[in-house]
Formats: sequence, structure tokens, C-alpha cells
Amino acid sequence: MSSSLEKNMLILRSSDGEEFIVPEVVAVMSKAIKNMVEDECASNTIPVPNVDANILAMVIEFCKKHDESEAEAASDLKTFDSEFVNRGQEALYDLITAANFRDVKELLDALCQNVAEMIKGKSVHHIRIQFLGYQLFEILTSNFIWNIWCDRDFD
Amino acid sequence: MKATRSDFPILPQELIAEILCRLPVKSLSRFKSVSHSWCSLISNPHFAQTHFTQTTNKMPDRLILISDSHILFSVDYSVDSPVATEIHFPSVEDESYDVWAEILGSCNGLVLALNESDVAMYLLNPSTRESKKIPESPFALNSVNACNLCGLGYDSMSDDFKIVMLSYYGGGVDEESGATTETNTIVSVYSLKSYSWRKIQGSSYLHCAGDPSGVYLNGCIHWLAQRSSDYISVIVAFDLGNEVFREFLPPPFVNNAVLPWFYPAVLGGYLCLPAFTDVWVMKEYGKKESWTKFSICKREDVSRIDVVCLLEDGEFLLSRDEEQLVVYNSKDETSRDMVVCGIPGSFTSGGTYVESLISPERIHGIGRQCEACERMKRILQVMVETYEAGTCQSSTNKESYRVEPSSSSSNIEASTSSSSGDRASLSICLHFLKFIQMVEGPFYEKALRMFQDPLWRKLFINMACEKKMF
Repeated sequence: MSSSLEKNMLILRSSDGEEFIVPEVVAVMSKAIKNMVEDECASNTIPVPNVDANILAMVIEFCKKHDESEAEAASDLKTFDSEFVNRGQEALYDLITAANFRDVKELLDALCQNVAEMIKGKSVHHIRIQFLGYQLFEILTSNFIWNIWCDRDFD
Repeated sequence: MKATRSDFPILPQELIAEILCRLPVKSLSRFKSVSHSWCSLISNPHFAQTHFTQTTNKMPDRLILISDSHILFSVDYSVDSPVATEIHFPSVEDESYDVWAEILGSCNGLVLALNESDVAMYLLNPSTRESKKIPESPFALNSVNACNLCGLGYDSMSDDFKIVMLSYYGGGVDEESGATTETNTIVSVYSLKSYSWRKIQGSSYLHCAGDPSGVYLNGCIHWLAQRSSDYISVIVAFDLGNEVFREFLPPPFVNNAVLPWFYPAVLGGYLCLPAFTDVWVMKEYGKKESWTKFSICKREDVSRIDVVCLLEDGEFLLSRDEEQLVVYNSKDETSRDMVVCGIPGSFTSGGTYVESLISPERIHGIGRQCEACERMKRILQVMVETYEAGTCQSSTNKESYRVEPSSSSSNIEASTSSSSGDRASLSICLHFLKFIQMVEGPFYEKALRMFQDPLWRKLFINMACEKKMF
């Protein structure tokens, strides 16, 4: 069954069943996959649960670029990274969880840095609603408590 | 109006930590009030350490200045229009005045400074405005002709900040050799983890005080000194890990005659020796062949030039006559004044520091926040005991409000949210309980039973407000 497959290629199957053929060097940028390959517990099709085809394609795109451009200028890679992570909140969330789950360090770094830039100047109120999905009740009570508990302001 | 729940799903705690440790200190200080879990995460010493390693080399250094009225100023010189901000330390005011004579060292975001009013050393974090008074070393010499040199550094082996003090009887500096006449130097080390001073083996070098503070780089604190055997000038490096002295040779011009005039500095991550209008930079740490000289062309009407820090591409930040910051390019010998908004008219440079969350208080022990929690917990304990004693006597028939301590308190919130308008509602009390960490098990149940009574709730909330916690 592996005869049709080129050497050093792996098949990754997303949660919704789509398959991606990727070079092994690219796939092992995910530590989780690397461990599976090293322990030889993986047949040449590796299931990637919790990650759908859309997101998996993005992760692979990112890993491929990073694999190719190792010799390239670091500044080029930086521009690619910043463009790559410039996405909507939903995709960003899915990417972060995927990167964390599959343990792709470079991607996680780039994504977290991006989110950090995004929220750097935001107000506490904004963070609560946008980031933590707080409800009004919780905001009211915790505000009340914080007004009592915090008399220090660093701004 | 009810806030709509955001579509953005809640990230797991570990990923929130990943994101937060990439934020600047100013944002983090603000985000402490986002939620209880964010606050405890940001206040955690381990998080401070992770944050420091993550942001190190990414965040620009800041300049620390002491104004002529002895107030500290911080300058972020990396931005286009730099601003000087006054830094005040609220907790210093409890014991002394917020006035500073000198900066004695800087390491990983902490700054060691000498307080003008009580002549004590304080460890400060200018980014978070935290401070801690360092007790006087019992081994330091106190007589008139005694000299005390000190330095601050971080020892990665024991994960501890150390303050090193060298004490010796000066007895005056010998005019001919430049050496101190007394050879006995006492070395004592203060560990921030153990909150105490201890004496270690003395130094065999002849130290001389050009500047009382040593500089920290690569796990070592550096001073200029002389070998006691052959009186050759060397740079001594006190290794904080194994607490021994090492030495390497200074640039060739340094001899005994000029020794007391100089002191090493760390500029842009390099060990340097500013000497009049030259700056010697040790390009490779520990290699005496790598000393490189940069010259600064001084205008004739300028009486004093101090090198403040090393910028990129052979540029230096200088302070001219202690009243103006100047960017000097050593390649084409051009200079331009740096316009800083709010800078004091006259100042002394105290070197640079990096922004970090590392707390001078919370290195090891419990921090102020935890202390407040502890205090509130004690108050709660007393209240619960009093309440219990009261109810035992009257043996009320009230149905006990039993909640499994492990069950999430969101159920309780849901059942009591109708009374959220009340200032002393049960849900607010429960939020307080969440705040006071380590309230669990039977004690939690007892507290819940007590909170059934609106009078006790009111009392508890009033006490919490009155104490103000911090």
C-alpha cells in the first residue's frame, strides 16, 4: 500500500477525513507527529484528530514555508509569519489550539506573538468581553470586587 | 442590557499564559484586573521568570536618571519621541522618603538603589513600582575610613538574586601605587531567597573605590582592582554561582596610576571601560584581545561627557554636562541632541534596566496579594467561629445550605443571581470567597452557612471594604 507513496512522504488525515501528502521533514515540525514517527507507532497515514482540513492546510502551508526558507533571510520569514497570522479571530483560535495540540513550536510562537500584539493596548473591559467571553453579571461583580481590592494603578 | 457572549471561545490557561508572557509589563499590570485567574497568573513568580526569558532581548532597555532633586526618572529612549517619567515607590514612603542618592546596580529588571534619607539600600523594580528595603550587612565595616563596595546580580544556578558587599579599611589610597594600604577585604553576600546576609571567604585583591558599585554581566559582578601579589590592575569578576573571584586583564592603558578614576560599565550587553573621551568595549566576554576602542570627539565648550549606553551601529548615548542626552555616532563623528519630554533640568545617569515583572518581594516568599488574602482569611475564620458559637447556642432549625465543596460555584451564582442588586448579596460574598484562595473543605461549607444570614454577609463585606485589603 505504500508503494504508490514516494519515500519520506507521510499522509496526514484531518478530522473531517481529508488527506494531505506531505514530506516527512515538514510533518515532523509538529513534535507530536515527530514522536509518533520516531516511536514507529504510525503507519504512513497519520490521523490528526481535532484539526479540520481547512486549518490543517494552513498549518502545513506554514511548516512548508519554514522548512524551505531555512537558508533564506530571516526578515523574509518574518514578513511571511506576520502575514500568515493576520487572520480573523475564529481561524486564529483554531490555529492556536491546533498548534498547541500538535506541538508546532514556531507556529505557536508566531500566533501568540500576534495575539499579544492585538491585545497589548486593549482595555480591561474589552479583554473580558472579547477574550474571556465574560457575561455582564460576572463583569459587574468582579468590577465591584476589584474596585475594593485594587487601589493601585500603574498607568 | 445583557452582554452578548463573544463567539471567540475561551482559550485554555496554558495558552493564555503563552500569550500573556509576550506582553509588555504595562499591559500586564493593567490586565491583572481582568479576572482572578489572570491576576494570580500574572502575580506568579514563575510566570515573571518565564515572562523575563520570553521578552529578554525583545524589549528595549530603559534609562534611569536621578534628577537634582533626587527623584528617579525612567526614559524609554528607543521610541521616536522619548518621554521621561517620574517613578515613585509607594511602599518606600512607609519607612522613609522616596529620594535616591545613587544607583548601585541593575539586573534582570531589578535595580539596587541607595536611599538618600535613611542611607539604606533598596531593591526596586521600576516597572512595577515595587520596592524592598535591604537590611544592613552585619559584616560591613562602619568606621570612618572603611569602604564598602556592592553589586547586584542573578545566580541562575540557585535561581536567586544576590547582593555582594566588599568591605575594607581604606586607610587612604597610597599615592604612588594607587593601592589601598589595608589588604583585608571582607566579602558578604545577601540572598534574596533566604532574606539574610552571610560572610564568605575574603577577597585577595586590593579593591579601590572609583565607583562603589560593581556591574553585572554573565552571572558575574565586575570591579576594577589590583592583584595583591604584583600590583597589576585587573578586572575582577565575582562569580555568583560558586562565589569565587576570577580576573581578566583590562585594556592596555589601564595602570595603577589611573586605576581609581575608572570603573567598568555594561553598555549594550558588553563589558566596557569608559575612560575620559574613549570607550573600551570588550567585544568577546573574557577575551582580553577583544578590547576595542571607540573615541568620542568632544566639543571644547563641553566640560563633562558620560557614556550612558551603547546603541546600535557604533552609536552611543551620552550625557553632556549632566543636562542633555546626546546621540553620538563614532563612525562619522556626528552628534545630535535627543529631545526628551519631561526630562529634569539636571540629572545623573543611573544606567539602564530592562522591563520585567520580577518582584523584589516575591522572589520566593508570599507576595503582598497573598498576604492580603491571608489576612482576609483570618478575619473570615474568626467570623465563622463566632457565628458557629452563636448558632450552636440557639440551635436554629434553619435548613443547612449544603453545597459540595468540589462543585463549581457557578450553580450557586445561578441560583442567587436574582439578588445581584444587593450590595451584600450572597453571590458577591461567594466571589470574595473565590478571591481568598485556599478556602476549601469544611471551612468553605461553614462560611457558606454563615453567608445565609444577610446580617453576617453585610458585616463581612463591610469589613472587606474597610480593610481595603492592600
